Amino acid sequence: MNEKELISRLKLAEEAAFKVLVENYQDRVYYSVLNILQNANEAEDTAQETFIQVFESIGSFKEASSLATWIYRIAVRKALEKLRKQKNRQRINSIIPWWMPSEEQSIDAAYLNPGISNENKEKTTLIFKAISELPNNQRIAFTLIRVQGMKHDEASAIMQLSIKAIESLLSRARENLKNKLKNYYNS
Amino acid sequence: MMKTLSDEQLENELSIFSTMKETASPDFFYTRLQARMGKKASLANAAFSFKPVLVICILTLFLIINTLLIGKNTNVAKANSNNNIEVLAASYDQNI
Repeated sequence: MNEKELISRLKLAEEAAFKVLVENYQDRVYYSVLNILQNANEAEDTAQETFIQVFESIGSFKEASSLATWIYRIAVRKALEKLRKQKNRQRINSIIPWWMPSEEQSIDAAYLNPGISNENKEKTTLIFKAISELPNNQRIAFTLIRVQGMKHDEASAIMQLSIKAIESLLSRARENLKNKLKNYYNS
Repeated sequence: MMKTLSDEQLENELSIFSTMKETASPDFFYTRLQARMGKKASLANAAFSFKPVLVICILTLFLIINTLLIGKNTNVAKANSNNNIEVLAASYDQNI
């Protein structure tokens, strides 16, 4: 089934087409949001929300971009919503700690990729912790390009920003990371 | 103590990403997604079936409040009109 056919069948709300779509994109969407959120449970939840949104909004998909870009855009938006909610919860928790239980802020141990050797796991955790402290836009741009290896134009289409803006975000993210990681080097 | 990392040091740190393999989504992802969508649809249906009941309840409450208020206003108006006649009669020194 080619992309055009898949889209037209999705617009008819065909369950078989939706299954094909999920099977084609579930790993890529999950991996993307996992890299952004760095928590396996949150990533699965966000990936599910992404596919629900895709199913509900496919009628409004104008095909101005590829289906993959559109799905990634939804996934990134959902991940950003999750990050904002997390930050709001942290803010409320710091003001009125009895209002809601505090959340684990540590990087999910399950996130650590099986492809990373044991001696590098500590280093990876530190790098991901530093990335998680970046402002949201820098965090997304850096994750898409440096962690997932996307091209600048792909990230630009997903984030709906110009390539110059993406480059600027990357450069600021690098400067921030240099500052944050210096402690690790000094120790 | 160094101020920040050099570009070379940072690139050395970030080279770790090239060894990373794509993590697959959890098992039964589609099954869980379907279950969630089913749950969402049934919740939406339940909310829809409750809607007429809710509308009827609100309308009934509105009717009851209106009836009570109109009844109360009629009594007050009646009492006021009686008082007016008495005042008028008194001013003309008439007994009703």
